[in-house]
Amino acid sequence: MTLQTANTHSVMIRKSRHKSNDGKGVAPLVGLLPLAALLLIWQVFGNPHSVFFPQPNRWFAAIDSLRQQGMLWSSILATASTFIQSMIVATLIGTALGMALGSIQWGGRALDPLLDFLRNLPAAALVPAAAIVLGTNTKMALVIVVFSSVWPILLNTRSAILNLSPVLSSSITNLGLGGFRRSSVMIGSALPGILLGVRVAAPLALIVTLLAEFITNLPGVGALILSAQQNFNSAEVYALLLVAGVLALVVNSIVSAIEASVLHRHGPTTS
Amino acid sequence: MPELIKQDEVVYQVLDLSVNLRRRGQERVILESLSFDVLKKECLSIVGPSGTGKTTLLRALAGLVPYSGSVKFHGETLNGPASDVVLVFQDYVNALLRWRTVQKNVALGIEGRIPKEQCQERIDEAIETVGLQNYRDSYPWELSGGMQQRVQIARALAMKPKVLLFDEPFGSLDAMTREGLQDELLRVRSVFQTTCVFITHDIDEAVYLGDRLMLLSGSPASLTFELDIPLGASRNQILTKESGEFLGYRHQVYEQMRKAHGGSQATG
Ligand SMILES: Nc1ncnc2c1ncn2[C@@H]1O[C@H](COP(=O)(O)OP(=O)(O)OP(=O)(O)O)[C@@H](O)[C@H]1O
Ligand SMILES: [Mg+2]
Repeated sequence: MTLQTANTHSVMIRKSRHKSNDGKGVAPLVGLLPLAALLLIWQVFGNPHSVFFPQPNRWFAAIDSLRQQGMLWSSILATASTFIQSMIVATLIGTALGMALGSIQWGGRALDPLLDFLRNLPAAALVPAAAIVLGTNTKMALVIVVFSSVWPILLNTRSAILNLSPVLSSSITNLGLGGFRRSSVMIGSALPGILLGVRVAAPLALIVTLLAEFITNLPGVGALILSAQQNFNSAEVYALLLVAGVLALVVNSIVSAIEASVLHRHGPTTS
Repeated sequence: MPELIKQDEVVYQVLDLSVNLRRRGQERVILESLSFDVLKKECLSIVGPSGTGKTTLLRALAGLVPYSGSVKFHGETLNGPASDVVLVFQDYVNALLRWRTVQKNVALGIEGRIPKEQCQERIDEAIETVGLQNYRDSYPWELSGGMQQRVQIARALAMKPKVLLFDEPFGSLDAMTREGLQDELLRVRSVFQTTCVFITHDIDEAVYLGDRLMLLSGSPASLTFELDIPLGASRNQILTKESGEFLGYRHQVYEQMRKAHGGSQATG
């Protein structure tokens, strides 16, 4: 079941990767034009005194005031640092566990119910539990984010390893590769699957990072959003929404860039 | 005295080899009680109907499947993957690493094991032997099927193995490419003097390449026919294949193959 969903995912996402490669990175920017147009219309026809729908120029003023208070960059940095650290840890753990599960003969399928249970635990529900155990600190945010984003990487790695051709593993054995060298060849061959997991995990990790900051008020963009909302500063809320959106875009294009630079070696029809 | 010399010339001594494989809880005897020798520097062709167990036999010789009976490699009982024995698979697409260049694929079995310079020398030599010097930095998926199979052969040659085991290596290639590679293989053998076991379902190919031929058939599979093919070391696609001797051998094998097929159909 889980493998199947991972596989359908892989097909869809791989297609989109090739599409964006064809556009040579221009497509996402062109694709943003409707949003820019919407903001422009909002600016031109919006009500300058609206409390709930402030015009975009007020958003930018809000961002600027945050910047002047020295809150903007430090918050973005805090969020980015939690996000990046968790992605690195999640990738390492997910790849290692995925390889281990994929390498045992029954593929760890007996563990599927447990894996399904764990990966479907909503991150928001985990935060209080983690806060009790670990306290409200960045370490706890890290644990929450890793815990929620490790699954796509783990499951995709496992299915990539399970789908490796028996001919490949026979030839690795036949050439006398063992231990580290064997693992590195396996990782290399499973890399498209691992990166697919990373691609699915990255936006998830960003969402959960913001969520953790939001719930626990740890420094970061999430906490800024929370305090803006509590102060009824709607312009700032919208502005931070925009910031979060830009962060998501940046994350997405970094992942795409990594994927493209690694996977061009694997050729056009990676199975 | 002659006994001693003979021992020296034997690469594989197979006695009463049986292989059972288990699939979905059911154990089946695939190979039953095979006995044969593989001699130094010879090319032993093995033919047989599809699904008899040719691949299984080759995997046993490479030490990749558990067996019962005795397989001695250079006088020592084989248990576990044999070193100095390289398998060339029919499925070159999956045998090669698609994310490594030709050069890096050829390096796979030797990198990190011998000094760098020597490693590079061997890679170059192997790549030149199969005529891919202009494609060192290409990826396998950029090459034709025949070229990819040559990469796999180069990877095997770079190991400088004592024995090359070929499992229908040219099976999925067109006739012209296949004949080209057959001649390349003859040439490589005359240079490296490597012992070969060559599996194919193509009788012409088996006779053309082999110094000796064995027929594997039945279920469970056993050796049902053996033939010496003293056609000499220099063989030629046109002249050899038109010679009376060649046609004679081919005829014999063909007849035995037909018998084996009829037999297996009657029992199955
Ligand atoms: N891992 C396995 N477990 C159980 N049975 C197997 C396994 N691999 C192969 N077999 C069975 O063993 C028999 C021999 O298979 P093998 O691949 O050795 O045949 P082959 O002679 O190489 O056939 P072909 O010419 O089609 O390649 C087949 O009936 C096959 O179903
Ligand atoms: Mg076979």
